[in-house]
Amino acid sequence: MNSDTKTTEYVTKLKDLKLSESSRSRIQENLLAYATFHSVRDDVYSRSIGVVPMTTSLFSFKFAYMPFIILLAVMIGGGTSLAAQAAVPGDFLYPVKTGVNENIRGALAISADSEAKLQANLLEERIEEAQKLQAEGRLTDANSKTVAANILTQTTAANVAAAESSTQTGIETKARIDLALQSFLATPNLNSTLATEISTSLFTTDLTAGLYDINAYREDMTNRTVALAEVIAKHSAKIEASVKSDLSVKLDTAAKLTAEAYTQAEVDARATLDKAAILVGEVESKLSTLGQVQIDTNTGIITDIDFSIDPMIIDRGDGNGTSSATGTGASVNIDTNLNGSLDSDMIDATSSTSARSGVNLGL
Amino acid sequence: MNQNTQEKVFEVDFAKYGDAIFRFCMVKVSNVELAEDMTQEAFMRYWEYLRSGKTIDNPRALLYTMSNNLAKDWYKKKKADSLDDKFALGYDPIEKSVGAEMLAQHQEVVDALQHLEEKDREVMVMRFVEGLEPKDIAAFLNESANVISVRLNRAIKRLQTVLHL
Repeated sequence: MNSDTKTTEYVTKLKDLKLSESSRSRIQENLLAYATFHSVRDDVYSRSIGVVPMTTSLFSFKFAYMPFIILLAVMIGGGTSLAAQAAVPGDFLYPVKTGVNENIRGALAISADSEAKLQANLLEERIEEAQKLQAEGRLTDANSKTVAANILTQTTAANVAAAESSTQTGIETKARIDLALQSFLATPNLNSTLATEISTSLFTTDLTAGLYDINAYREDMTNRTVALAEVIAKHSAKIEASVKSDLSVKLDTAAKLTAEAYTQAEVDARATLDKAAILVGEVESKLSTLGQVQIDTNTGIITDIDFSIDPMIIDRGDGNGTSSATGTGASVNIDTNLNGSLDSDMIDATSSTSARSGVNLGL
Repeated sequence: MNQNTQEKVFEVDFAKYGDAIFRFCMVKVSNVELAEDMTQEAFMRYWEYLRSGKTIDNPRALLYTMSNNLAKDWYKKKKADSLDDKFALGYDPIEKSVGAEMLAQHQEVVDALQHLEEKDREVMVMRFVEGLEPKDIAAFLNESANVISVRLNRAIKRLQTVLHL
């Protein structure tokens, strides 16, 4: 047993065997670094370097979501231009509509005819936009200039396209342009700035194109016919039956021609209206021989006749009788300035006709 | 369970058991540098336990088990290294390459222990150096207490022979 004890004591000497200080501190340092790097899993946010997770949000992306993402992309991508289609000036997507959508449509309109149709469509859209803004009460003096500019620019583009297209399409396009602008200017409570902007620009720039001209001509003829019919009806008792029937036939014919002119393209309508104008002029001329006519200073239309005053027709038959047919006073006053040169031309023509008619019919 | 508290536990346990594990490894491999590396490696494995939040009832036992496994790996690797070459070069199974910092006395003991079976060495150290009871050693080494006692007796006799006591 003694030797056993000696043996174990011998081994026990190893108790003093320890890590050297340098080794101990080195190992300890390594171990702590290791512990820091391989941080506690439940507490991944406590250390920066050990925090790198197995997956990040990017890599944990599930392919199961792919169809939804594609759908979303399609909705966003295609939806923008769809949504933009309903935009009006001032809307966020309006530049997309005009800058992208309409250029794509333009690129697809290959032939001159389809181009003309497209441009007319676009003009109608510009007008619809303006009407939409007006309806929503968003049409201010500030933005109406832009809106007007849009419409006028598009009108020019449409007219150019119409001129370059085939005859048939050109006429149709012109008619569409006219009708669109006409109905637009007839919009109830249309913003005055916009209306002025459009009508003055159209008047000065598009007169040569005959754009405003034909519409005003039609309207003017309609108004004159209606007004004359009323005047005659009002004073039917004072007008001889034979004269009255003659005037009525002429007015009816003029009214029919005018109505016809609304359905015709410009060139034909103009010819039709010219015929109507002659007839109406004859009626006006005849009436002016019966008494003192009262003429609306804004429209140049005869609104009434005073049979108690004899008409005094000067320069009868010289063809330039309009201004001289003013009778005894200022009651006959034809305003030739208000509607510009076109109207004064028209009135001149009418007056000369009536002067001549007066010679023919009045005697 | 947070990083700081676990690191504290880790540090304390290294201070407590670091030397014991080093000795254990020293007896196994009789090479200071190697024993140091093994000690470090054993504690790294121990940290993995702490980190994962597993409950550790007996850190010491765990560290011994880990060191033992490391030693086994080392032996396997050592055997895999061509023994033929080493014997051809006059290989001495008792490693002499203990560090300079190690006292001659310790070196002598370690060298003496190299004459024992590996399994006998470890029980000798655990019993007489670390002062563990045979049943504790049995628990660490996953053996029965009786087996440990038999090994201890055998180891003592063997060592007596080596030491000419």
